[in-house]
Amino acid sequence: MSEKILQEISEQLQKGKAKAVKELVEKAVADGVNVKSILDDGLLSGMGIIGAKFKNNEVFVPEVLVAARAMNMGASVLKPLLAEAGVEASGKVCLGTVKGDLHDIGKNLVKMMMEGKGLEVIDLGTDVPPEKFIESAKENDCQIIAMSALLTTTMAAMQDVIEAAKTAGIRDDVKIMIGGAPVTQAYCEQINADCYTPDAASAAEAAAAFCKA
Amino acid sequence: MTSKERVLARLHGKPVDRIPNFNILMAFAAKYAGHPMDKFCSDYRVLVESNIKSAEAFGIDIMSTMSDAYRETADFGAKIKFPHDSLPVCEHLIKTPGDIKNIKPFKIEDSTRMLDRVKAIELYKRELGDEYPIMGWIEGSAAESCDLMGLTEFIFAYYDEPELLKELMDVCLETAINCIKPQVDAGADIIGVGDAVASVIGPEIYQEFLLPYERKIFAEIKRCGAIGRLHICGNIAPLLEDLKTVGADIIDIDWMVGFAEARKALENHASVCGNFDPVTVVMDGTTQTVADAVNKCIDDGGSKCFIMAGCEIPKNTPRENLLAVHTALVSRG
Repeated sequence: MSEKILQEISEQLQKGKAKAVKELVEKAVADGVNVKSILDDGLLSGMGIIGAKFKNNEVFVPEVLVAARAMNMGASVLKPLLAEAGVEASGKVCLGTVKGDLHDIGKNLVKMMMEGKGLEVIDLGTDVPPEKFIESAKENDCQIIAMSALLTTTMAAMQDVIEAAKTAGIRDDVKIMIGGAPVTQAYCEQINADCYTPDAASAAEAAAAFCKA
Repeated sequence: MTSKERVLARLHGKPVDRIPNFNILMAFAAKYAGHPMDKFCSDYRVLVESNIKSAEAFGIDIMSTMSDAYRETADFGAKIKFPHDSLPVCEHLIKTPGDIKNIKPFKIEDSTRMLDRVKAIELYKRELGDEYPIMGWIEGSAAESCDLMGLTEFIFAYYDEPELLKELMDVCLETAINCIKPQVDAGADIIGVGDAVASVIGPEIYQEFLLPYERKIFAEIKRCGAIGRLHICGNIAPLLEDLKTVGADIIDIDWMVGFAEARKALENHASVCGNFDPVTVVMDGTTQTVADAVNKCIDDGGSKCFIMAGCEIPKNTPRENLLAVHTALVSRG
């Protein structure tokens, strides 16, 4: 019985049907299905499938966005119940697009995929100055700072964040992840970031691995 | 040959002394000419001076009026700031789908930033005559809609309020069309169209929602007697079949798309322009990596291709690496 409804949640989520997902999650809760199981085997499972399809170019950004919206609708039902049950996020990430850059789609995708891995993401938005990354990471006790840049002009700001982390004395306490269209593995090594990933799904996998380690 | 003769000949598959160098310079040009980026974006005289100096130094064959994505957005009424030596920062004018009804088309003569672009074209023409092809620029309807409301919001509106979103796309189209002829009249030989969002939405939404708008823009460019150039940042491999019918004369191919694959798909429809990696090959590479990449693109691009990095040359690119593009093109002849 519970397997059937969890499967339905996953399927409706993959179709981006936010209202249906919310209703199914409410029904599952009312039927007494384990809350953590609804999260893991319904919502996160569906998001994982969408993430894998996105990585393989089987679906594109719009499908991911609506799936993530459906996931968030379902998760909003579960959030107070998970808190009551003492279930915590598996890690905290401070995420933003670097100073001077207003592009948010890559960042938003990374956020959704990371949330799909059970991580808590502090979204700092776009045009984020280095000091804001650092303040937020300290305040929220984040294990990861993740930065995005879409422009060759703005990617240089990633190095400023790394320098600011060193100056603030937190460089050894956080993993620094970078991504975005012009960013490469070579650039990651050049600026001494910890991790470059070429797409949102890989970023979420890497972040989850960092938080487990 | 002058740059203009070279570009026109290449476009028609006629012999050239060297293949045109179409690299996109903005922040690099400003830095090279000793100007902060905010002035490059806000003062047509700075943009023109920077691009002429850079073209002469690095063998660029086109005079561009590109600076940032927010010329039309500011002219629609969005608040814009120009931080020192940085790209402009522009607010989203549409904060809820209901705001779409407030967006009205404008004409270039009533604008500020698009009029600055027309002045750049006029100044190029006065300074250079017919030596170089001059390129005006407009944002595609989807790209402009995203600049006005945000990409995530654009996508949600596509699912939730498609008719309202279509109204916005129509306003952006009307404005784009209003902005073509004045640029051609001022002396633009080429009109570039930026529609970056196309590379992230997948082929189905592209066919249904973006392609019809792009076709109308390129039809108007053709009607005005100019050359149409389409620039979509990112991976457009899934769109190549559709791009056959868009009506552009030149289609830019970003570095993540196989240049030979693009040439094959678009042959007999448009010239391909590209497409080495601006960061790995040009900024972080050597003169040899640049030369190798240029030669591969020439081999893959066919007899009508143009050569450039897939997107903008980064500001901190070593000068010798950018010059290596020109050197390689000259040695290939």
